[in-house]
Amino acid sequence: MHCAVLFSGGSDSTLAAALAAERFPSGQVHLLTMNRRGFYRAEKETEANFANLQRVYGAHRFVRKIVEVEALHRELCETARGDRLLRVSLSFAKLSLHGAALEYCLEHKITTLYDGAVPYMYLYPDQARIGGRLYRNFHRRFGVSYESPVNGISRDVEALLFARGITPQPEMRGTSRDHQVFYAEQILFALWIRYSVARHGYRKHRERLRDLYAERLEVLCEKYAKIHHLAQRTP
Amino acid sequence: MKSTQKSTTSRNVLRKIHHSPSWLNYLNDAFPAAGLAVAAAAVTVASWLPYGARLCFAYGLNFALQLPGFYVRLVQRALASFAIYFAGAIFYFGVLGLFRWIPGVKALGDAPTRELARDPEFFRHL
Repeated sequence: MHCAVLFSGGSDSTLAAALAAERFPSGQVHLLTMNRRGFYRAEKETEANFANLQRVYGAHRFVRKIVEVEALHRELCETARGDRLLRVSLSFAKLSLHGAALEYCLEHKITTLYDGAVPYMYLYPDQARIGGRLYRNFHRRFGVSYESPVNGISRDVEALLFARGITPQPEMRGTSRDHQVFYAEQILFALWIRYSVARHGYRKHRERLRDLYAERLEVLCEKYAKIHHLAQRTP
Repeated sequence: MKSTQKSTTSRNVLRKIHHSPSWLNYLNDAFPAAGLAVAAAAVTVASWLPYGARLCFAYGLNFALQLPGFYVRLVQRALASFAIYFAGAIFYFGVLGLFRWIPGVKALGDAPTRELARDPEFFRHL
């Protein structure tokens, strides 16, 4: 049995991949890294931890795939309607990655998808508080189980990676060895959150985003149901 | 109390997301209203732009906000590569070139001169 992991190359998604390799000892772990315009060196930044995982669990256990999502990302940004200022948030959303990951899982008959979502990253809409449940329902409709195995152990991520021999030192974050994919809109994203939370308050800001994400995921659901001639399950 | 919490959360957002502090972080900490005004202006401009132009705008924002960090290092690297090139050129022409001034070395490196200055004895034997 195989498993796919949304892999940014950072500590959280590396631990998610390690847990996948341990949970599915006879299967392969497919590491999916998003790439589009505005991303810096997606392949190179994920190289180090990909190599570390291969060293510990065996090279044959991991398959790496750089997923090009430019067309889908652009489509999701350009076809959205409604509040213009809210739509800016789609520029840095991971909706297209989830769409492409679902397509990959369906093509390769993978039924489990992991990511490295952690609770303290609550300002990022793709993480647990906004995206978590929506993404889980989205994937479940196509028979894919979406899980965030690092969510409950987020405080010990670095120690767990070190204990497994994946990282060479117990503290990696913020060091020169800490690689992860960076994208051009990250500062625009910070400014957008600053503005949106100040204007609406965090609770309203979250609700507005959740509605937008739900609507966009519905569009993706219809798209993939048509492509794969699948009957969606009730969320 | 509620409004204070809301304000504090939104004010701290920039510090939580920016990986390395920029001038905007310091401005936002000292004068939150000014930080918010910059954020609102940037987001409003971004919302007017089409997809491709918004990405270019994001690059511009990075340039404007991260000048003390990332882009300075980028410029430093470019200057360093030029410096290596010029150092190489100086070494090749300036240091290796000096060998030509050692007596006898120049003649070794030059083309044979016999053709240019013909030996009159050579023709006499024909």
